Amino acid sequence: MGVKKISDLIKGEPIELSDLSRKRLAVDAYNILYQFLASIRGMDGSLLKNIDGMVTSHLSGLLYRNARLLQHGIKLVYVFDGKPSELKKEEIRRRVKLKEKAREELEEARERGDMERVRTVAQRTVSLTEDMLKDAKHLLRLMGIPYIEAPQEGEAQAAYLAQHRKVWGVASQDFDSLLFGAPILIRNLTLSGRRKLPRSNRYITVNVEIYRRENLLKELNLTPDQLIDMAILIGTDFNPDGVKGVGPKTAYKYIQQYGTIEKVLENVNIELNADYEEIREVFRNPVITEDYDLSFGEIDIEGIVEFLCEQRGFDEARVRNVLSKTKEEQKSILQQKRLDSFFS
Amino acid sequence: MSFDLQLDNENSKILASNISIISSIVSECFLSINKDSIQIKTFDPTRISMFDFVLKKEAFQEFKVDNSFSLGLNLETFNNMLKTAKKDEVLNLNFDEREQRLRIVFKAKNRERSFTLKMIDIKDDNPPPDKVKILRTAQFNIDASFFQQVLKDSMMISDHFKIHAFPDKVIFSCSSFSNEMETVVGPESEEIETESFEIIEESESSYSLEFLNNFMKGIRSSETLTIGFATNKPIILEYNLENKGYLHYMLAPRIESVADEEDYEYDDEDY
Repeated sequence: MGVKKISDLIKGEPIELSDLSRKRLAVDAYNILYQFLASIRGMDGSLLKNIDGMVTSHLSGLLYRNARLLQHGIKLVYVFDGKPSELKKEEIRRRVKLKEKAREELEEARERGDMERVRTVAQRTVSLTEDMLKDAKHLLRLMGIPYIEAPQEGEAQAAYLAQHRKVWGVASQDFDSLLFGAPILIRNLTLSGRRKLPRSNRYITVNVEIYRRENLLKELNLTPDQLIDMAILIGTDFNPDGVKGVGPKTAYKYIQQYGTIEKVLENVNIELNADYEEIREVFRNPVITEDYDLSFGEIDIEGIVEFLCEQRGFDEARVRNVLSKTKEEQKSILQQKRLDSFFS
Repeated sequence: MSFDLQLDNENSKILASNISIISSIVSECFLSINKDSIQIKTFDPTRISMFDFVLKKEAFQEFKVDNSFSLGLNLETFNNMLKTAKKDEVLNLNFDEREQRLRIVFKAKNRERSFTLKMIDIKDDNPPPDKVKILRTAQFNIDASFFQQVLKDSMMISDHFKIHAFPDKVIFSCSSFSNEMETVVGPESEEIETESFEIIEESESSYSLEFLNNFMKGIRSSETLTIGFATNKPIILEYNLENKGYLHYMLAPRIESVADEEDYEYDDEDY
């Protein structure tokens, strides 16, 4: 998803979760829920489920990872995608195809008894269902975390909130929010810590990273419009193929040299099969909504116990334990004011 | 830019104990020098509290400063070096711009020990303001040992406590799910300087014990402190070094309501 490849050109700086205390972060909900569905799985690679067969992987992720962030006094706002724009249809078709292929491969691997392969491929077959989304939103509400339904792109809505300083930054694994104008992007927010490498028994430490748009533009010496043009050459959700044979480094070189897509196409013999003017417009003026509610609530421990433990089969002692600890630490951080706020 | 400073043994201990207090909360900061004094004015990294430390030239045997300027210091290392002082030693601090190193020299009869401390680059985008005004609607001088005891008692119960000042008494209290602590003290008590007791209006505020305790740990229990605060405003602890200077510590309150306005917008200082 998104212009991931741009990471070849820019590096984030490490940041501690405690540095994000009291800060509001708009979280790309789909991005994170897919992350949970891919990574939170049983030993055989299957999704976690309760006895009724309802998927709980994403709820487990939302509960424990959010709890960890709330403990640091981080204020999360989840932003859900709305109806995809016409331009994204091709990307969506591509993803559907990939999933179909993965499902076939999964069957084959199962027949062969290749459990290692099963685990890997299973991660690529999942889709978020309406029921999963409903459960996720319900849990967010019980955790006091507001969420917003974007009219189209969640990243665009999140970037809009950041640009207008309603939130401090956007948290996502993708870089699209920077194209949409978010001043700050946080990556690995829910991934940080010791993580097992896939298909190996090795562990790595994943750091939370911060990307500042202003620094990035300065370092690359690009204007915001040029950043978008460069991304279109590399390939975005709206033109996943980009330009054949043009990776991040080449795209960067072209834009640096010629300034705009038009000039690049005039001077270089490449083919861009995309309505780039329309894609630019999506990044510059995305469809967003002003109709949102950012009220942060308190963690409703009893409500969560009833939902997760009684209805979704979570262990009550463990859930209560993490929630009461979270609530206490969250309160302790949020009640403490900063001294400089009294000096202005 | 350079300076040559010398402190006798007693005053070098004063410097060391104050640096020790600050370094328990701040690991690096600027040390400013001007023709009258040296000064450290710094937020802690979380910007919840702030130190203002001044040691005037009156505390020094020698005070040669050619200019006003600031040095970035690793305070932990500086503190460890100062702590090595022996009873018979005087302390010399020399800085020369060309070397970008602070020389810390302990001299005794027929003996000399020295350290050099490399200056560090500190990025401080939002330094403390020059003039800091702390609103006080309640103020009194209190025995350090007594206040230390109150903090110790409170920490058995909670991570924060409440100070409630009335015209005729001060109540320190805290509570947890099951336990409570309360200490009441009046202006006529031995622990409070009667004439210093000044309550303009009833005032009530909560503060983190961890921050206060880190500060108070380094204060000698025989000292007297001035405490000033106002309802839901910062508290200030003033430790006066007679005519030689002062150490002030300011700490933001904890406020019950955790909700912020829904239409809150970040400003430049937040980035």
